[in-house]
This record gives sequence, C-alpha cells and structure tokens, in this order.
Amino acid sequence: MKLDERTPPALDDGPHAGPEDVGRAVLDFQRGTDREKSFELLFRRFRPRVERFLAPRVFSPEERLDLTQAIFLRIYKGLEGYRGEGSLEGWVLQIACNVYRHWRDRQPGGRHATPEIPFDDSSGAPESSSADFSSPSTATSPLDRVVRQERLKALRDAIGELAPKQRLCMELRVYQDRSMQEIAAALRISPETVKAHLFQARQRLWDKLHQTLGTIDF
Amino acid sequence: MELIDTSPEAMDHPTPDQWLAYQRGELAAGEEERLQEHLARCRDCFDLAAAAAAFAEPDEAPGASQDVETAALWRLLRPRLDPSEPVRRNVREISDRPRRSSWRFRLPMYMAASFFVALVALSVSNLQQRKELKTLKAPKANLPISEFFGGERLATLGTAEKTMTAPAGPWLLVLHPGEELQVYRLVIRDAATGREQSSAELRPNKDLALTLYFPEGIRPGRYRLELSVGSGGGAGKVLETHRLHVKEAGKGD
Repeated sequence: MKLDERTPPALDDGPHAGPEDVGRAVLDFQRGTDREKSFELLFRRFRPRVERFLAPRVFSPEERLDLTQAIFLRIYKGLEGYRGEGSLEGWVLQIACNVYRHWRDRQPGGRHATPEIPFDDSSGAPESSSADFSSPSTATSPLDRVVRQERLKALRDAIGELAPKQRLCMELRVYQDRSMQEIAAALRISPETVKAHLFQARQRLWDKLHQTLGTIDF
Repeated sequence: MELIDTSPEAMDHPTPDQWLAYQRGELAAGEEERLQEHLARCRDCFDLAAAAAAFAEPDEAPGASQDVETAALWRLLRPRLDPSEPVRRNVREISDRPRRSSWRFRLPMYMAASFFVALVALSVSNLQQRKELKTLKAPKANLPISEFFGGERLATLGTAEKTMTAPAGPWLLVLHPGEELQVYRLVIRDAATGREQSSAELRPNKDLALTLYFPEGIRPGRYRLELSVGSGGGAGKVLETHRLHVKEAGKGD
C-alpha cells in the first residue's frame, strides 16, 4: 500500500515544530487541551526519526506502516503519564525500540530475522556470522570437550588482547552476531572501518592462534 | 554463543538520553568508551544505541513528498487514537442544544406511537364493552321470578295458566321438572300461533331446578312452555307443558 495513493493531506503545512512547541504540545495534551492537535504536532516531529529507525530494519512497507502506527499509538497512550524525567526524545526512542524489539522477536527466527544488507567484501574473505566452533555440549567425548574448552579460553584471551576498537568489533560480531552495519551504527564509525577492524583482528588472532587452534573461520 | 558471559547482570544501563548524547558525540571520551564497552555486553542496550543512531541524525528539511506521507499516515492514525473521543463530543454537542432529529426519523416513530395508542384504546374499549355486557347479563338481586313445578302438570294442563305482569327489566324463569334428567330443552312458543319464541338447553342445578335468565325481560302475551328431553341440537319427547300469561303492566285482565 503506497502512502501516496491515500487521501490528500489533512494537515496544514505550517512550519515544523521546535523543542518549545513540542514541550507546550505535551503540556496541552496532558491538560486535555485539544489533545489531537497537540499529538499531531508530536507526530510530525518524531515521525521522520521513527521512519529512519525502521527503514533499514523492516523491509516490508506494510509492516513498517503498521509498526509506525503501533509506536505512535503507544506514545499516545503513555503520554498522559510522561513526567519529563528524561527528554521526550529519549522516551519516544525507548518506546520505538521496545515496539520494534517486540515485533522482531515475534518474527520467525526472532532477532536473526532482521534482514542484513549484504556488505561488499572486496577482499574475498569469507563472511561467517560466528566462530566456527561447535558448542562444547555437542562434543562427542569428554576429551573433545576439554580440548574445546581450552580452545575457547584461548580465543577469549586472544580477543581480550586486541586493540580496543578491534576487540569491540570482534566481540559484537562474534558474540552478538551483529552485522557490520549495526556495529558501525552503534560505534559511530563507518562500515568500512568496521570491516577493517575485523580484518586486522582476524589477522592477529590467526597469528596468535593458528598453531593452537588450527583453522579458524569467523 | 558461549564464548563469554554477556548477560547484563548488575550493569548500570545507560539511559536513552545518554545513548542519544553518545550518538551525537556529546559525551566525554571516557564516558564514550564506557558506553561502547557496555554495548559489547548488553544486547538490549545495543538495540537502543542503534535506534538512537537513527534518532540522532539531523532531520532533513521536509520535502513535499515527505509532508504528504506524514499527512497520509496521520489520517490513518487519527481514527485509532481515541475511539471514544468522537462519541463524547457528540454527546456534549447534543446535550448543549435542544435535541431535534430530522423528520425522516421522527415520522416513523410518531406513526408507531400512534398505532400503539390506538391499539391500547381499542383494547380498553373492548374490555369496557365486555364488562358492560357481562354486567347486563349477570343475574340481579330481587328479580321477578316465575316458577313452574312439574307436579302441577296434570292439574293445570290445558286449563290453568300462570299469570304475571310484564317485568320492566330482567326476569328469571325457574322450572322444577317432574322427571330427573341430565339435560332438558325448554321451548317457549307463542300460545296463539305456536311459533317458537326461544329455545334453550338447560341442565339442572344442585336443587334439580332449571333456571333461565331473561336479561331484557319478556314481552306481554300468552306463551306455551314446552319442556322436553334434551338431545343434542333438537328437542325430544315433550315432558311438561306450562302456560304463561304475561300481562302488560298497569292493565287489568
């Protein structure tokens, strides 16, 4: 469903709301003075941000539309109880994040259902989502289990010895299974930088562990 | 993943505002590093930090297409905000001014109300009439009564007759038949012409008497009362015959 095909705009296209207008709108809303108009102002203010948040995470326009509505409905219902302990933006952010997480966890595959934009790996290095270790519990014998425990400890120690940014990228990539785009956004660096950190981290780990662990692929 | 324990136990989670400040680069270097270390160990905060990144970006100047989209979305959202709101407003609006619906709705209502009132009036009238009729037909105290006994038959047959003055109102005829039967039939005929004036099937009461009530009295004249065996619709064998002379009131014979 394309939004452009819907009914013509009902809002008057006045200037966009500033922080003072938003604060006044919240107060008006809580006093019950023209709640609809007050909320419309908040909607106009935060809709682009919610859209920016959802766009790379929810590909289906219909689902994005539903989620946007769900987020603003939650805001509408909770705005009465908003006491201004944090900023309104932070409060809206928390709601948007909660609604999104709730939706994501209900998708088949849960968190891993989040689509990952393919990242062009020019080095040709294989991209694997996690270290190529099976769980210790799947080991066939107690001896294998002990060996794997040892390898994991070695890997953990080696990761801990990496440079801070490399270590963070590696931990987020390996332990949390985050995409490079997600890591980049969270650490406020570019995806290319993330990729470089991961490459260097792999090199260091290889140098350090290849004799101990054999082949390592992550 | 079991490489390390990433559970956020006893962690001091940064607030959404801190994540926004982090994403906008407003934090000191040490604080920024602390938050980044936290990210590596807290999945929930990682999601929040990622969302904060989208929120922290500066808003673009709104274009026409974005405004249209926002307006269209608002149109979709608005009816879902508070479904009770329009109802409340309607009630307030209606209560603030005299209620007056259009003729389109009022006419059928008036017609239905009229029909109902007419129906009630008709029912009341019908009940009234029934009551009056019942009152009229009901036996009254101190009625003029004419009694005939079956034992008189032989003595009076053909010769004697009972004489009475025409009653002004209701009149009661009482017969004491000589033979005891379940059902009788009484036929009153004009004595001169033999024409049947009335006929009724009677059942004896606990005193074995037959009573016949004439709510409108009886006209002056000579009558022959034939009491026969009651047999369905017709009259059977005549058991008794009585003669009755009803004189006009105020006239001698």
